[in-house]
Amino acid sequence: MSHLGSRISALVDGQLSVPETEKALAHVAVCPGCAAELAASRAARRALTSADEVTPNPDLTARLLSLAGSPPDADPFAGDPFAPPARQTRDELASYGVASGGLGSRGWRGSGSLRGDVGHRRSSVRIAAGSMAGLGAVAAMLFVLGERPDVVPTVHPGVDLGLLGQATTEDPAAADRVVDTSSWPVADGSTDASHQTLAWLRAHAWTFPAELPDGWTVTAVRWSGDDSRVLEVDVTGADGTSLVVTEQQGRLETGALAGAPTSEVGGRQVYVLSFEPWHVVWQAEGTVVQVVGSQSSGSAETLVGAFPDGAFDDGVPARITRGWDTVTGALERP
Amino acid sequence: MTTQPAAWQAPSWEEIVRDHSARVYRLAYRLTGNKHDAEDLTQETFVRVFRSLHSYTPGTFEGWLHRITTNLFLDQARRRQRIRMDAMGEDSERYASGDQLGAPERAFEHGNLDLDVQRALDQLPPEYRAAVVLCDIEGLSYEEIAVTLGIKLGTVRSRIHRARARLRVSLEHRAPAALATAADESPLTVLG
Repeated sequence: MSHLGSRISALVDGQLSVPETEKALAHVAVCPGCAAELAASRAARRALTSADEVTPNPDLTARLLSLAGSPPDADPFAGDPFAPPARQTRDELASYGVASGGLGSRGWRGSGSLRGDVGHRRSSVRIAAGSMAGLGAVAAMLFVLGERPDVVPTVHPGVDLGLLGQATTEDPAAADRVVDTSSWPVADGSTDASHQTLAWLRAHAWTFPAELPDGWTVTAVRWSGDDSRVLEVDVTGADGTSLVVTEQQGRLETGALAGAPTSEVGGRQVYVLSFEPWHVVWQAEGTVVQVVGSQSSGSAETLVGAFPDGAFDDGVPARITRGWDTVTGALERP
Repeated sequence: MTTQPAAWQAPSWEEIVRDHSARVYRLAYRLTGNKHDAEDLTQETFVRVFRSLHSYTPGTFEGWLHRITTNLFLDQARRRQRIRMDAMGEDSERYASGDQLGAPERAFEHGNLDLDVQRALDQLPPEYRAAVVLCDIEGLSYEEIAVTLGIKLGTVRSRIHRARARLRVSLEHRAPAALATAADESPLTVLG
């Protein structure tokens, strides 16, 4: 029998079959060269296996935990007629492997969604809605309500990944809908329901394509943010691409985005906040639209291109229209 | 998406991190040879895990983590090798292991013997290092290593064999003690 060559290592690691092992050992017994080789190989192996255990720094564990972000706390608007429906339950999110908290995620509390720094205006909505006195007052009120806050998008890969991790990518009909009082027809995967969802969104002054590109469906619609003024729509493409569209009434604070690269996506100028995960933002009429996906792809760009165009209009009629939308939106929002 | 048995409960992110971060870090440390790169590699691995969690099927988690970690490491190592070839020229010998071998703080990270073993590992080409670390540190079988690295069984065997031969040479130079303790064993002991 010839010398063992690389079978020495396999012998040391117990990776030879029983007959092979016997043959190899029989050879080693009569061949000093291979015996020495075997001893040396064992020594090298033992030197490695005896290496000390290494343990990660606690900091690292905290950083890893924070990748998941954190879902918002329990709905603070329970019992409030203007309150939005509850978000998806923990169980539902957990089924996508998203943890509820942990060390590092505390820093993200309340920032589980993409949202800029906007003032709390809901209380003024309620006060104003209660004091409708005359036509002039109403017009003035609508004008005031038509004002939109500046929106500064949040850029952090952890937040983006958290958002994607929570996204519903499966047929929502299979999942238990927690939003039992939902007043919009929730997509159940069929084209009809998807159309109804789109119609509802457009009727409520949200910017959304009238027709999704082929193969795209809306898988979930939900509110998020401190006072649930942020709309999150999960959309899934035919090729399995999952995107989260985040919309928020307001004016995109372009000053804060001065450093961000712009790019032409689907015939539209967008700010690219991050390439991986892919995160783009643009102004569409009175809405700031953000799209987050795991990475840029042709189909994702088609979806971005399908959104309607429109710049922010700060004229008086536009503001009054937006003010009216605010009032009707607040009354109709479940 | 994948169909999963009804009884199977997806682990929470916290569970995943708690159960696997130490293992991933250990592998990353032995591959990269220093704390800083090991932390980066671990984090990068978990970012990938997080992103593709929806495609995870039960029962393959460890193999999946091994695969992501070693592939990321090998990608980085190949990129660095190219850069080093271009930039270092004659000095390349000094930087052969790809990290701060001379950095004094490294001496404090682990005991001397361990440091010598790690330095010997660092001297190996990344492909050899990955194979031998998966085998000796992670305790994977040759079949598992073949799947993890996407190479043939025979390649696994020859890489491990060459890696051990090189380790031996480099340990003989810097730390005969590391080999001596092990060499006391009779070469004919039947393997467990």
